[in-house]
Amino acid sequence: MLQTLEVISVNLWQIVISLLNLLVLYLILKHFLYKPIRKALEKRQQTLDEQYGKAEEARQSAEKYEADWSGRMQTAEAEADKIIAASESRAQERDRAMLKDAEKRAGEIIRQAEAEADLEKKKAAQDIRQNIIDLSAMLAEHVLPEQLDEEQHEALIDSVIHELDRTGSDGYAGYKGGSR
Amino acid sequence: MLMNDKTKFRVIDILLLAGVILPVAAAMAIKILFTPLEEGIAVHGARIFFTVPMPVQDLPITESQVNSWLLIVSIFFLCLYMTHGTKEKADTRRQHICEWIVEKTDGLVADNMGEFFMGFSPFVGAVLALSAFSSLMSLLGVYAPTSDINIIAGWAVLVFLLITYYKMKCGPLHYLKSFTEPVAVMLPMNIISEIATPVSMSFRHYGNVMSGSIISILIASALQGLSKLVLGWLPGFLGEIPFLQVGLPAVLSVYFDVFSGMLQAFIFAMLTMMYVAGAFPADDYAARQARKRKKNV
Repeated sequence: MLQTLEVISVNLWQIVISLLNLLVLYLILKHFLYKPIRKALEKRQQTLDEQYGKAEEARQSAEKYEADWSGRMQTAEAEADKIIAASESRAQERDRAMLKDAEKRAGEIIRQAEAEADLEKKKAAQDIRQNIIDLSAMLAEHVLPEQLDEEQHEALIDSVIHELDRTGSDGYAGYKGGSR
Repeated sequence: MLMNDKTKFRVIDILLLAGVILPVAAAMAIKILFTPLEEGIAVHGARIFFTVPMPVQDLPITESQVNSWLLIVSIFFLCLYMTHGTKEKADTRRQHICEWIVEKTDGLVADNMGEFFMGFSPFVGAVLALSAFSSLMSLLGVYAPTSDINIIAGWAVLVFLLITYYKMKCGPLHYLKSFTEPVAVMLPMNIISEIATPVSMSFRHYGNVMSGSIISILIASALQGLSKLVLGWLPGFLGEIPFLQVGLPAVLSVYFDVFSGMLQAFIFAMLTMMYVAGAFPADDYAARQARKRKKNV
């Protein structure tokens, strides 16, 4: 049968061995647990930092782009506004010009029409006068037995017409007899 | 080789796990082989396998020594197994556990000792692991190394050496002067308290684990007697079976072996940190370094 120690028995060498045991375990843990894990953690931290740096860079450049583009958008909007305003004013101008033109043309047409109507009126008046002259000549030929020579005839008629003019309506006011 | 990487990884894993389990199994085998059958319930120290003649005092190689060596081998393989396949991107459970351990001990050391002592975190981890696993060995039925005072005295002496080393950081004169503070009359008290530190540390831990196992043995034997008294009338071999030993010893074992063992490991680690950090005169050391720098410049 094996001997046993007393419940409390102090042995110097056992204490030293136990002390060394703890030291050995410390070295084991340090080299085989903490070192590889710390290395992995450090590496991961490095990668993480790198990634964060990259993300930050990307964010900054994106922000720069955004500012750039928003500036450009603003100028573009202002430009568009300007263009719209310019085209509007131009359209208005053209509108006005067209209106003026149309008015002018209408006035012209009216004037022309008036002139034409005037001309027609004059023509009609002359026709009527001619008819009257012819008719009076015919009447005179038939009524007056004596033959008047041509010149006496004409003078007579002219005098009659003048008479007519003086007593006639306004429509014949401007009429000056004579050459025909 | 015909094996692909995955198979190789598995094979190494299995070998490492064998390295973890075999030493513990060996401890159990030794226990079974060397325990005499007819031994009743008795309170005694560690079994002595053989004695090596040494100067000053002979060295008996005992159960507690062998068990703690086997435990260290087992922890060594456990470390290799846990860190096997460690990579930058943690995607295995074992790496998560390892990182948790490292970060927890780092946090403990940072909280209790400060940034100057960050190198202590593997040491604190070693104290925690050795103490806790030694106490938990009793769950396997083998002799827990922590119930031998020599084992814990060794750790406490190491802590004492560390304390003294850090007290000496400002030179031996400063160290000797610290014994006469606050007044010279306190010299004997200070010396006693200095020696009391490792003694109290080792006795606290050893006493808790040892008393736990003694109480467990006493209660087991008491239950055996009670069982014989109460159920002895049962016919044949039924009367021989100590039925009352079922239940209560298991509950007590949860307290004495698991809870108390863990608690003592934690207390020992905490005290180590406190004493070592407290021994370091940080302000004086900083002043001394500053003086040295000035002298060199």
